[in-house]
This record gives sequence, C-alpha cells and structure tokens, in this order.
Amino acid sequence: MLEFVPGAFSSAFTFSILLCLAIGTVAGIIIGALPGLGTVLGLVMALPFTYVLEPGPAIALLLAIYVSSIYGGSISAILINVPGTPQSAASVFDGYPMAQRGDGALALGWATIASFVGGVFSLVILVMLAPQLARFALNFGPIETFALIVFALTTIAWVSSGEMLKGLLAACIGLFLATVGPDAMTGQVRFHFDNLFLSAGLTVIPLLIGFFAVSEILYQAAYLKDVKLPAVTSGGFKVPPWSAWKPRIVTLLRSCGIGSFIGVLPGTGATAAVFVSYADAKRRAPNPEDFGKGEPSGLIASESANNAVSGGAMVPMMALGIPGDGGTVVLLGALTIHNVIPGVRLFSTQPDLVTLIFVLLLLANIFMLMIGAFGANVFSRMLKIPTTLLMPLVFMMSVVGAYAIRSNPVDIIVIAVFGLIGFLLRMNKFPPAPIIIGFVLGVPLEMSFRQGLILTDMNVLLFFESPIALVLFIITALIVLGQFGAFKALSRAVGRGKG
Amino acid sequence: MALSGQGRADVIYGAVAAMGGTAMFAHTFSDRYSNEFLFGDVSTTFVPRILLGLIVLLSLGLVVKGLRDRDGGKLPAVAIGRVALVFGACVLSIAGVWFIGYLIAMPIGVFLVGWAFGYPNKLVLLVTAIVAPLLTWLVLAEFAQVSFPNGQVF
Amino acid sequence: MKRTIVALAAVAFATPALAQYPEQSIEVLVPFNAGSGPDASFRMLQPELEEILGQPMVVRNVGGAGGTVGAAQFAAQDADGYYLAFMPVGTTTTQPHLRDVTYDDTSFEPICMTIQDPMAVSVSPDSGISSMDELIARAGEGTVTSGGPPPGSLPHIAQAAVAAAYDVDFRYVPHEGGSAAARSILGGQVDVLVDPVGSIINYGLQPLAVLNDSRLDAAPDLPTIDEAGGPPLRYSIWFGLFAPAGTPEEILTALDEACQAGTATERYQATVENSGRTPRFMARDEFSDFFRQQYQDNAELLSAVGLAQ
Repeated sequence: MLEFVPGAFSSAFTFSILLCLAIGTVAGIIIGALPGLGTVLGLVMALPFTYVLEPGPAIALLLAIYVSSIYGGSISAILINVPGTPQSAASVFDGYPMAQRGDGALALGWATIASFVGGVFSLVILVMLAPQLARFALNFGPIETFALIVFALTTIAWVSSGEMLKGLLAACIGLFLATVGPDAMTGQVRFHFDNLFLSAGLTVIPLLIGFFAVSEILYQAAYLKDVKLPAVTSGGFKVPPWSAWKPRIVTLLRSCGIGSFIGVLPGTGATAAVFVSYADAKRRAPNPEDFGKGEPSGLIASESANNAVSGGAMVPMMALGIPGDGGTVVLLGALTIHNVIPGVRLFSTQPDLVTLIFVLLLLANIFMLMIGAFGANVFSRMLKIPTTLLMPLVFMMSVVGAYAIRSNPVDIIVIAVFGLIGFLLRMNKFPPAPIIIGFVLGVPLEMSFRQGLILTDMNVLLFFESPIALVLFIITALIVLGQFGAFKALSRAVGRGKG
Repeated sequence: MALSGQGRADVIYGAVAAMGGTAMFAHTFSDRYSNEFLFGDVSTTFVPRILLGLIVLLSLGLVVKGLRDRDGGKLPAVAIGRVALVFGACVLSIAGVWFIGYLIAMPIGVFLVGWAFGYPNKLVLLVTAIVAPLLTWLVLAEFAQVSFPNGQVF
Repeated sequence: MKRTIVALAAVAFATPALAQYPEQSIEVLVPFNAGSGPDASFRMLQPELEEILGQPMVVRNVGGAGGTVGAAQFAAQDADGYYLAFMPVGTTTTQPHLRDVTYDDTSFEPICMTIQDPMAVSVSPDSGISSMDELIARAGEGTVTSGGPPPGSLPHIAQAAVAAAYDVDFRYVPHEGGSAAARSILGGQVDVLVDPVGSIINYGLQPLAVLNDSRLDAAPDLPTIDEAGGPPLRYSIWFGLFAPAGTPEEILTALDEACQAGTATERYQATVENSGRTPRFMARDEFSDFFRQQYQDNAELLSAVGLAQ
C-alpha cells in the first residue's frame, strides 16, 4: 500500500481534482448548513455532475461533499439551534448555549477542528485496518447488532437532562414511529390506514426538520420579544486556545474512536453514534452538570464522532462492497457507475486506486478545515438578519428539504405535525433528542431482534451465547444499574441531609 | 388541590399520550393484521404492541407525576396568538405548495410566515419572499435536478 | 462512430410526424432511492438515451415499499411520452399480488428490457460447501438458513422455489436488502443467499449454480442448475423501461429504437458488465409478451409459496 502513496499524491494534485475538492467542500458546507438538506441529498444532487467527470475528480467531488456536509450541519446547529443535518442533532445541546452567551466564534472553532480530527482519525483507521476491521465487523450478526443497539438506547439517559420519565416516553414514541410503514420482516405494511403515501413509512430527515427546525420556528414565535433582533449576535471563527484543548484531548480521541467504531458496524449509523459519544463524554466528565449549558466537551464529542463515522462507514464499503450508511450507499452507486467496484477484489486488483481514494479523503478533510473556517465566518455574517426574517427562510428550506428526499407529500405534512408536537413537547420540558434516537434505532432494533429470534428458533436465551452480545448486554446492565444506583445513593444522601 | 402549571401540563400530556397509545393498541387487533405470514418469528404487531404498552404505562406515570406535583412552578408566558398565526401560515403554505405548486405557493408562504412573525419592513419581506424561493428553485431544481412539488391542480 | 450511425438510423426511422419527439426533457421515475441497485442500473443507460434522443432524461427517485409508491404515482401520470419509468421485475410483477396497489399489468406499456441478471444460489466461501448436492445434503441433515430482502422479493421467491423443488426446508431470515444479507452470509450467521450472479461475485460469496438456461460469460465455471443435476428453475432480476398505458404508438416505437441503440453501445455494455450485471436488450413486442407472462407466472408462484393475498 505504501508504495502507491507518492504516485497517488502526484495524481491527486491535478487542477481538476483540486477544483472538484474545493467546489465540493463549499457545496458540502452550504448543503450541511442549510437545514433540511443533509448529506445523502447532497451526494444525490452531485451524482449527475459526476458522470461527465473522470473517476478521480468525480470521487474527489463526492468525498468533499460527504465530509463537509457533516461538518456544515454544526454551523446552523450552533448559530440558530437548528441542526443542518441529522448527524448534528447533538451539537445543539452545547453549541447553541455557547453562541447565546457570546461564544459563537469559539463554538465554531471547536466544531471545525473537532470535525477535522474526527475525519482524519477515522481515515487513519480506514487506511491501516480496513480489511481487518471489515472482517471483524462481520462477527456482528443480528444478535450482536441487537445487543449493540440496546446499548445505544441507554444514551437516552444522558440526553434527557433530568427528565428521565419524559425521555423514556419520548424514546418509546420514536421507536413506535419507526414501525409505521413496511415491516421488512414480513413485507406487511403497518399503521398506514390505507394511505398509499403513508405505506412507505416515515423517514428521519422530515422528522428531524419537524422536531428541530419547525419547532424552533414556533418556539421563536412564542418567545421572541424584539422583532428586529438579529438571529445571530455572536459568530465568526476563533480557534480555542491550547489550554482549553489539553484537558479535553482524551474526550476528543474517545469520541473519534466511538464514531469510527460505530461507523464500521452495521445497524447504528451516524445519528446514533453522535448520541452515544455525547452520552459517553457526559458520563465520564468531571462536570456533567455543565453539559447542555455550553460545555465544549459536549460539542466536540458530537462533532468529532459524526465525522469519524464517515471514515468508519467507508470501511465496509471499500473492503466488502457493502455500504455502511445512507451516504455510502450513494457513494457506492456512484463508484459503480464509474467502473470502480469496491469489494474484496478492489484492494488486490487496483491498490493504486484505493490509495488514491484515501489520499482524496485526506485532502477533503484538509479542505474542510481551511474552507470551513472561512465558511463559518461567512455564515455568521449572513445570519445576522433579524430572526423574524430568518425563520420564514428556515421554513422554506424545511419544506424543500422534506420533499426532496423522496417526493412524498407525507413528509411535508410530517414537518408541520411534528413541528407542532415538538414545540408542545419543548414547552413541557420534554427532551427532543430521545424521539430521534428512538426513531433512528427503531427499525434496526426490531429487525435484528426478530432476525435473532428466527436464527435461535425463538429461544431468546441463546442470545446470551454470543460472546460479543454477552459483553454488550453486561455493559448495558451495568450502565442501567448505575443510573438507578445513583438515584438510590442520592435519595439516601438527601434523606440523611433532611433527618 | 392546586396543581402547579407544570403539574397540569404533565397531566394533560400524559393523558393525551395514554389515550393515543391505547387507541393504537386497539387498532393492532383489527382485521388487517390478522393475515399473518409467519416466518418462524413473532407477528408483525408484536413489537408495536410492546412499544405501545410502554407508551401507555409511561404516560400514565406522567399523569401520576403531574397530579403529585404541587410546587413545580408556573410555565413561562407564551405569545400564543403569534404561535397560532405562524403555525397557521406554515400549514397554509404547505397545503398551497402541494396543491398549487412550489413556485407560486412558496413565495406567498414565506411572506405570510414573515408577516405572522411581525417582521416590520414589509417591502424587504416581499422582495425576500419572491427572491429566496426562486433562487432556491433555480439552484436546486433546475441545476441540481432536485424534486420539487409541482402542484396537483396543474 | 458506431453510436452516431445507430443514432442517425434511429432518427431516420422515426415517422415524420414524430421527428419532433422528444421536444423537451423526459422525466424518468425510478421507484427506489438514489444510489440503490435499480437507480444505478438506470443511470448507466441514462447518458446513452440522452445522447440518442437529444434531450435530458431527468431521474426522479420515489422510493418506498418495494417500489410500489413510485409505481403507483407513475401509473397516474400523463401518457404523453414525457413520463417514463424504469422498474424491476419485483415492483411490476410480484408486488401487485402481495399488497393492495392501484396498478396492475395493464397500467403500463412495456418499452424494452435493459438488464437481466440471472440469480444463483450462493454460500459463504468458508462454509466448506462447493456444490448444490452438498448444500441439499446439509439441508437434509439439519437446519439451513437462507437470507435476502423482505418476503415477496425475487430472491425470497427464488430460494423458496429452490427449497421446494429439492423437497427440503430453508429457514428464511429477512434483511433490509441483498447486501445486508450478504453480510450475514460472510459473517457465518446465515447460510444461503440467492441473488444475481454479479452481486454474489462482488460480495465475495461462493456461487453454487446459476438458475439459467446457459452459463454466464461473467462466470464460465459456474454450472447451471440443470448441469448440477437439479430441477429446471429459472430466476432472474430484470429491469425495463415503461410508459404509462395509452402512450401513443409512435412514441413507444421511437423509445424502443432509442433503447435498442442505447443498450448496444460499447460504453453501456462495458459499464454494466463491470458492475457485475448482465446487459440484455429485449425489444418491445417480445418484452410485452414476456412481461405479461411474468405477471401471471409470479402470481402462481406466490400462491405456491403461500404469500399471495
């Protein structure tokens, strides 16, 4: 592999490739920052343009969009409390409070650098370990995937900000919403009430738009006092000082690891990875009560994880020809049309091309860092228009983004319905994140569970025979007990205090 | 029996969720789900029923919590009128976009939502309402071939 | 050069009244998400058609429920030649028998077939099975699990038919799609996958026998099911271009010719084969009969497997 690196670098530094990287990065950041569009849509939009390009520039364009759009989502998450992409849903927790107290530039700095670190970390893993990791990931069959998802559900506890009951209820609602539509196990359609459009089920982006964007619009409508108030008062780009980074390095690296790992595995995806990473950071932090109020560790946990998933998801795609998430599905399709067939044979028959892809991914991350800093500044300035003017535009993008995914009118109804529901929930201190977590994990949870039942012939106890699953179940149990244990200890302490 | 604002809200939300959950649960017993293709695992309504059961349980728990909440404090003041106006504008816009098409309905929608928000400068709003949707359409629909609603009437 | 000649010929044979068609861009509906198998299969043909017809072909992805949402939308479109659809065997001939849809085989005018991928029975390369007989023997001894897309899909029907023909049982484990199932095969959790040969080779699985009349160029060492001593099963996933019922005859002919020219280009053939698929052109008349026959056959098949409504 190493012998191809010099050659790959020299083939990468051509005008057309560099131009495609630049265009892709700019487009990716914009697509990510505009609420409602998202990484998958960005890649789909770029797809027709890649046909007239050579494989090199085509891949450069797509990878740049893939990587930058994940980062772009953090810009609107931080500045206007609306995640631009599902993968930035956890960045609002600490990013927006930081912007509200005047640290917007710093928040964007944290996010940009964390995204870069996440992307490069997962790239290194991809380069060094892709075939081995892919092979290891194959040990995650349905039963192991089920255990992993159950573990991921525990993150609800840490994103419920104290309202456990409401968080659990929200998560169950999210899980239930995921059952609307086709049941992949039997082919039957559930809860569609004979409506053709509803028979396709619900999809995450319109739900996200509803719960985060439209509900934010209604929230502003409810509380905004000054109609001329600019939406963003503190923006720009400021690199946080090394003294602030030093104590957070471990958190950063661990989040990168979580993101990469979950990206490699089937079933979970970037949105879930981000919450797992956030929950992990909060659990281990010396100051968990600061999370959700503008603690940079929360922001970097989320932003590094989501970019790390990108490299991780490329592991099964490159090594097995099996896509890891929605973005890699489109990447795989695009590569196929350019006669690049990822899979077991690609590494052996075209190692130079594989190396080129890795180099392009590295350059895409570097471009993201450089242009991202600039883009953060530009967006901050653009968003200084009054909130009352911005919100109608956010609404417009919400409608466009919701319909663009799959041309299904259910989706534009969803953003209104769940926008209202999201607003009402927010008014009553329901945390919004668990609904998204539940929805995203609902299908893989049910599917892996029922696949497991078929494989074990309905004998659930056999689930514990798998070593990987057993380990995951034990960790989950410890976490859950820890939660209750903490409650018990707390009530004992409170009792002692009163008596 | 003075429930706090928070407590009252909890009771209402919990009750609504419990009723919704129960209704859905009853729905899972309807005929449409009785035709089962069994593949050696559970039926198609197995997992939904578990989830609905949990929803009902948790929402009843929320009702109980709300009833016991005496000192939760009042909820902050909300400009309900404006929320209703904005939401109404949103709903109208979406309906318009679906039935008439994006190009005509979205500018009207953006203007209506901005007006409902109370943005003071109506001229700027009008210009924005025309330019922004058009620009978005040009870039996304024409250039990138993204799918936009064309309207049912035309 | 060859493309230009063929394109000129296609234009020359169009009747004078329709020398104008197409006058504007044509919308092609693909009832699956962008980047998916059906989507990629059409995008390989897209540049050829655009060149021959001289107009952009705008792809519109409307995914959901095995393609039924998109197909239903398509069936209601105007039959003026500017709305076409690219649909696979499942959406058009099996899904209508599985659920309540608003269309049937009379809703569409078949134009041409563009790809036909014969399926093969495959196992993991680590399984130690190297022939159909060994697989069937193992099925006779214990439990053999097979995986694939949700019930009602072609891979599911095919594996059920294989099991039935050999009088054994495969325990079916549904997955989101073929690639997810391939992952389970490679991981050793599931034993068998019946999928198009090209996909099987791309995943690195071990094909045992192809359910086709003759051996495939892509896998010359792979015996047909007949050669392997098995029953004469024939299953393939095909893709075709369709117009709504009622589209004028001249337009259908023009499209049929464009399709023939487009699928004959070297670039198309190379791209399709490279991706592991098998290009196959079937002209309108033959494809019409074939399509209607498949609609009937699959109805019977689904009843036999116990799935039809």
